[in-house]
Amino acid sequence: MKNNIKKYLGVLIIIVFATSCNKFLDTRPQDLLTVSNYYETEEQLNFALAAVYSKLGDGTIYGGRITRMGMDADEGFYDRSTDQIGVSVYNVYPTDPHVTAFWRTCYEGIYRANLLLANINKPEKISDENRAAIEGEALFLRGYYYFLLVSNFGGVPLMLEPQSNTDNTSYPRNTAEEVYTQIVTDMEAAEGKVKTIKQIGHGGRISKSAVRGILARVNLHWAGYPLLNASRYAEAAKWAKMVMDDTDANHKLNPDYRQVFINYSADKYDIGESIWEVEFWGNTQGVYREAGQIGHYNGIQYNGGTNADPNHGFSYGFLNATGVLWERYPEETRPNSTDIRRNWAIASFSLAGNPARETARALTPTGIYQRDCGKYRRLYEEVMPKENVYTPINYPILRFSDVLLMFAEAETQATGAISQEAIDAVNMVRSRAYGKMLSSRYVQAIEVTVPRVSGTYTAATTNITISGGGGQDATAAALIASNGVANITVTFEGSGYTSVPTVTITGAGTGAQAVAVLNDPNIDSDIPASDIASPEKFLTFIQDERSRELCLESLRKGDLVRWGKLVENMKIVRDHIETSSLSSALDYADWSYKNVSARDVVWPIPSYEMGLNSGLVQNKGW
Amino acid sequence: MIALKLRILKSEKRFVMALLFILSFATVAFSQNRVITGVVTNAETNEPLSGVSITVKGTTKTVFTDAAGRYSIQVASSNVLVFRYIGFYAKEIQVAENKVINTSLAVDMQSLDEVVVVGYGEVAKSDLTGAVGQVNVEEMALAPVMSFDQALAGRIAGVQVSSADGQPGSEGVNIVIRGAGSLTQSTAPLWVIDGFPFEEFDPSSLNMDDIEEMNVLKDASATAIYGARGANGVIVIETKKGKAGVPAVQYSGSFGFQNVTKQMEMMSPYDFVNYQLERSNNSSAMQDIYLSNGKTLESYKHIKGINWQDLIFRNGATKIHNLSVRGGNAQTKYSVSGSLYNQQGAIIHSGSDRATARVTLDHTISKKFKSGVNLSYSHKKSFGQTAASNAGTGGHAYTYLMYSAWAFRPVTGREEVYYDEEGEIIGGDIDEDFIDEEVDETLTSAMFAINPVKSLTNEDRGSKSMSLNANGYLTYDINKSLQFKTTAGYIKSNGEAYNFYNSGTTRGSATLPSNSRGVQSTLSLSETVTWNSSSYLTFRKKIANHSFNAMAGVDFQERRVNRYGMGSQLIPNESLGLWGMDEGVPVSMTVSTSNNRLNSVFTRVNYNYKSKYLLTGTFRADGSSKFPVNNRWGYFPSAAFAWRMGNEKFMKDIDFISDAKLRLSYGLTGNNRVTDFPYDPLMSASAIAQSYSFGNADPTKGVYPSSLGNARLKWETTEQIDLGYDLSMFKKRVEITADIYRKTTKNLLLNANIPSIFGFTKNYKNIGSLQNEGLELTLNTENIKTKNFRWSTNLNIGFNRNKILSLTSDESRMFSAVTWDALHNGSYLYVAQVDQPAALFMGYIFDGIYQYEDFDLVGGQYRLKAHIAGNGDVREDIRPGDIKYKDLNGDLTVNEHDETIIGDPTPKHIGGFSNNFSYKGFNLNVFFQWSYGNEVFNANRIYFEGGRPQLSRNQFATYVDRWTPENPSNTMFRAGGQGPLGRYSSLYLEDASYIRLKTVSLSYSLPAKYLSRIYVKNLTMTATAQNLFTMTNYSGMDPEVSVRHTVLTPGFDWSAYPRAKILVFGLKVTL
Repeated sequence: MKNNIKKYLGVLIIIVFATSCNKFLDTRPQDLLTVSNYYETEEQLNFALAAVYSKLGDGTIYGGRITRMGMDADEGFYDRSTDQIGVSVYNVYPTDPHVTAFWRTCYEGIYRANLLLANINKPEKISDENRAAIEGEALFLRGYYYFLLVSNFGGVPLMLEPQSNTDNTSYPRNTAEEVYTQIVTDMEAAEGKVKTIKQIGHGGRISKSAVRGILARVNLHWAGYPLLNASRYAEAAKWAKMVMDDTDANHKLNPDYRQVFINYSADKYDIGESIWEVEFWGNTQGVYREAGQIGHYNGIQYNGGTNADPNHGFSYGFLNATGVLWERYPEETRPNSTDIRRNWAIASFSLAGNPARETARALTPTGIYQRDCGKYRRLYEEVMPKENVYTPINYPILRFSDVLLMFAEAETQATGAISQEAIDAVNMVRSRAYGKMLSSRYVQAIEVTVPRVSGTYTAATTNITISGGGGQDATAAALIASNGVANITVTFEGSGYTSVPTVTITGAGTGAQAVAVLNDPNIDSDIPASDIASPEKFLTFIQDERSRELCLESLRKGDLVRWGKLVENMKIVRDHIETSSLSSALDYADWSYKNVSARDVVWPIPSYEMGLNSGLVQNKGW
Repeated sequence: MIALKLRILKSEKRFVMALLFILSFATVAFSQNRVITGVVTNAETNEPLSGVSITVKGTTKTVFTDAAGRYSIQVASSNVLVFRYIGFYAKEIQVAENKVINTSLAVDMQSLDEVVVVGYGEVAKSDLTGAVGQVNVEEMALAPVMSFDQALAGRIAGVQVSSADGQPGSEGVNIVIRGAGSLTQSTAPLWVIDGFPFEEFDPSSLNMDDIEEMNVLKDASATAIYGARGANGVIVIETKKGKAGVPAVQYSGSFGFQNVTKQMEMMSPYDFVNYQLERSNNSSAMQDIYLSNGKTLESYKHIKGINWQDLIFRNGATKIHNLSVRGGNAQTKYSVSGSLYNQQGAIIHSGSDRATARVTLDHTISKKFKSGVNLSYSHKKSFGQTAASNAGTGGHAYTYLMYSAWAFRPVTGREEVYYDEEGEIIGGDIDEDFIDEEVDETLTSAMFAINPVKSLTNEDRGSKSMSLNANGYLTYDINKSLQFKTTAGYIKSNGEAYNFYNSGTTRGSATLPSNSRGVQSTLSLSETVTWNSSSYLTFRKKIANHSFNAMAGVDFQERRVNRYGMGSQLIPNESLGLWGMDEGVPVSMTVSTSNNRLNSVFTRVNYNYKSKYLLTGTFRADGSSKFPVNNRWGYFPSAAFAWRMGNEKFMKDIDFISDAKLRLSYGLTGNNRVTDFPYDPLMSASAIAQSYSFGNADPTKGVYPSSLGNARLKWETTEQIDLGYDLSMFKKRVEITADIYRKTTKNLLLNANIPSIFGFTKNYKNIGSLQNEGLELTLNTENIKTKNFRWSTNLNIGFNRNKILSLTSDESRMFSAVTWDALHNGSYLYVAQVDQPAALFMGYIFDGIYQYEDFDLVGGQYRLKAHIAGNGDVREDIRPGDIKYKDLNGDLTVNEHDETIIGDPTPKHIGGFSNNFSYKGFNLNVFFQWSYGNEVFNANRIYFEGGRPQLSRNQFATYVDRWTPENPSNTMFRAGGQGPLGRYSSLYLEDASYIRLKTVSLSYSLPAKYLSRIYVKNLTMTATAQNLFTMTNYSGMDPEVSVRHTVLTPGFDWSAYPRAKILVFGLKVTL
């Protein structure tokens, strides 16, 4: 039959081709590597490790967004009226894109670490030491991403293997206790593997000191609200002490508080002080996109427009200090405080024009609330040209002063008593704040003696020059009232002064005079006796001291939460704003403080996750 | 398939009008004693028939009649001539002593049946068992558009064709057959052009004038022969081939204009200034700008203001040229054609043009061997700013083209006004300088917005594509009933896209604070090579009343895509344009390559008994490299049964019924539209942002996992059942086709959302199920048919209901957002949920405006009454005139818990209505196309009806009617009363149903008697209009809009390129 011929032919064709078919269909990607053929050399492990680190610098976390997520709680607020909803004003909702992205970025980092850890033993030609270091860094970073998650969301699902089977998407939340246990396990394992900070030579990579310091922080959080596992205080104290006692690493405070931050801007390292920082690099004018937005989002607002001063990078100045933070420092009614940290952390001036001119902020409540975060100053960036929105400024995660304060707190909590060592640790932080570690002096303040004799001084044309005294770099700006120089704000204190410099006031008026006051190297900066009268008082003092020292470094909300004081402290700011009658232009300043409620100790689990993972239970109140 | 077909072509009837000299194509192979001539006519109409084959019986000697029906052949007296013509009874005539043999052929009503090209062969229309829609190509080709997909909407029931907007050259035409069968993957049909399947085909690479036949395969019986690629339906296109006979030379050309159908009415200068003052509470800043030089608000009644829309819209010229030569003889047939299309956009500095060329050659090598080649080339270029894409970098709404055209202020406050002697204002200036300012200088510090005219003039963006398509076939007739055919094709297409942003553009401007790249440009190139080979055997046999037609074969295909891209920033010499790119700082380089292969075996068996009971069975096995080894092969069977009731006695007795057929089909098809290596976990190093700098050193490259992979991935399967009925009445003057279907897609190849705890948010999975069911009706009637006047009508309508049966394992809802504006990008506008269509609009329900009675006056301050819900703003800040949303959960505030489903973007039915009138040489075609019941989210209104109060941005005139104490509107909130920003609400959702007079074409063919003198067979003059008018309640520029189109996000309108109406005049000459 012809039919059969057709069949036979058909079958024949199929047989002939089928033999070659599977080979024909064996295609492999040619421009991408597959997981199965990667992780084979030490270099490949290092590249994979860089990708684990890279998530820290993601725009959704330390790359910039963290400065706009309410992390500074009672210290700072989001200085825009455009965000009426969202995490920046504590009006969070479960679909908040930034909260969702924060969660997502952490888990991306975790997956990368898991994949690296699963393949860590694949290369053969690698020294044990280097393999251990890579493994330690990956373990630590996994732990750190979990720490970011647990401290902002509570318990989360623990993923400890690179899971590629996604058929089951129901992963219940591990308890916060379990997550902390895992973090500490990972970090303690890492501690024995990573290199020392001296071996590394900079704070951009995980060192033993970084692991120990962060272990102190993790344990403090574990010990505090909501888990209240008081046994962890001793652990926190132990790890902090290990950093302090490490003679090899030789951690010590940078004698100049301001220099700590200038270093971040200028891409300089100080491993004595800055133990771990997120690295940003370059100005995006080349091939790499490794710059961040620190100093742009949370810098001193400056928009020179088309005719901008090239020395002052563009900044949105999204983060402003609250009056409550201002008042934590002494001399709240004076333009400058004896505590130099205030003038650095809370920018006392605004910037405009080319060359950029510093104009002193008023000392009114509105003038205080208008002040930008001044810690990350683009002026000191050395990478030129300064790109508008991207900066090379590294972001501090762990500084030595934090370790000192953590030690004092943890040890006091653990023992229920105040030790001299704890007091010394706090006093060390304070002595720097008052310039006592410096070998020379700076211009602490300028007192106006004669506001005006004749003529009309205006803010735009009045200049203050500080000369002589053996020092340099001090700058100041006048505040004008009643046509005269009402007072003068030292905008930068300079350094190297040995005698009182001359202050010259020039402007449209005549006769105004002022004298400079240098800092007193013998000032008593120690904790007042009343604040060490009891462990409770000491702890309260440390809480404020942490704010004075570490404000606007995205640590405050976490601290307030673990102390159980978030809502209470936010309410203080709200009351402060409401009794300060700020200008109506600042009517958004209180949004965060009005919106906050008990549920805000954590963020909601993102809706996206809730919708896909039936194992999740939403946080209370969301 | 490229098959030899001889059949009646309606178009040929046109050619039969002229008398011409006679040409004989028959070569003299051996000596004969004399020449016979004659004319062959249609026995019914007495019209000459062209292309009739006249064979000397018992030999291969054949000639064809020319366009005038004439032939000439050398014969001997003893010979018998056989006259054959498809659709007519054959006739044999003894030559004897005749010198002239004129004859006429009678129509064979049974065989006058169209042949429909389906996969791997063709089938008589009457023998079709599947649902196949045939496009009236001739009518469609009347539309003066570059690409046939722009003219396809409304032509075939159940085929939804919609475009994103009117951007020339990239209209974003989206073709969906019988509803979307996928949520995240492509829903585009498979294209089969001259037998070669393309998963990604650019319709604009094909000149509409070259299309001979276009069929849409809809049900499983028809599509299952394409197995794994058939689930989205198949569009089969055959291009025109040469025909034996006198060479037909045809030229057609048209010239015309296009312009926008509508401008948005903006606020007048007076209303604009009034709004600025009101919005800012009469701030001194606004007064300084607008009320200086003694001007008052009233002065603006006399100042004209700049109409930016006038400045960016224009009459764009459209030019179309087509030229073809087709002819051949018994052995060899050829076709050569070329076309040029040039279109200036309706917006300045935009447009597109295209050139195509095609050559086909079919040759009979011997009695058993036939072969042919088909070569085509097309080159397309389009340029101009993409209106609906962000021209800036910040993701802000204000960097879009239409935004800036609408928002740019009509007045600057610098205008002079003129007074008469009594001090009355008699006139005012236009601020001409403002037209030339690159940015709105006085406002840059507050908001960056670039002059739309400057931006359009300065941006150099465009794309080019080139495609070369070569294919050939060889057939071998093994015996009378068995034929072997092998085909091979090679398609290479190159694409290029370039953007150059000089300092006068939104993106390249140094005045934009976030522009870190200065003058910048990108260039990307792509190269796609596809080859395909297909071999199959066809067996045809008729034994008594049993007819068999069986086919089996094997296919191989490979597709490779290479991409190359580069970018440059801080380019110093911008005057060099793109060619100065190498002087800048290189920023990115991408190179990628990817390939996939497909190997298939397939078979189809058709059987019928007396053409009454018809059975079709198909089976295809596809192996694809896109799936892991264990799951490579997918198997796709189908079966169909048709009962041609028309041939039954009881039907034949019913006078008015000419034919009737009941069809039932069931089958499985697949979809393999996933990336090339979706099963493999991959590592990538290409994103430089994944690196990390240690110790300020140059960053260490970060190599990161770029996809999770799914080793268990397999085919997606669509099960489709179709019940159809074809009824033909009154001597085929009324033809009705109705189909109902249900398509269920299982193991949906879903680029599924996964919890990000896996480290990724997407993974290809076979999860979820989707159903489409619907009804399609087509009605073709010949209403009037007299000698001089004919009127025929086509009406088609399709109803489709789309429903998600299940989603990713734990997901009952899937949210989608559209990206257009930083404020809104974080909010969801769409939800896909189980038991609902793939996309529904979600958001807040607009509940009117707060009025005075909603408030208590407490100490001079309005405080919302305790029982009245707030809108999400701080409660104390809510004022009369503010927007009100429905508080669904009764917690007295409106937050994300009050979001709900607010609308449906899917039309209830779509269709087309075409009427053709002809009277003597006149022909009028009027084609309407509609969509009913779909909603569109008009995001333009958020920005232009006060939803984003900003400095000196103009607004739609509709916002003049906003709430004021004197005008307590309940639809437009007060200036500044928009409530929380970044929300989507039902306020901006509109019914976008429309009926459009899509194409009107009037033509006049000159009578043949005048033409014969100038050796012209046919001369036709045409006037054609496209998109002439649209009836709709939609308030935006055009209701057919979907600028962020995906299955999950249809019907979103933001800064769409306005759709133009086109009017062209043309001429068609056939020699």
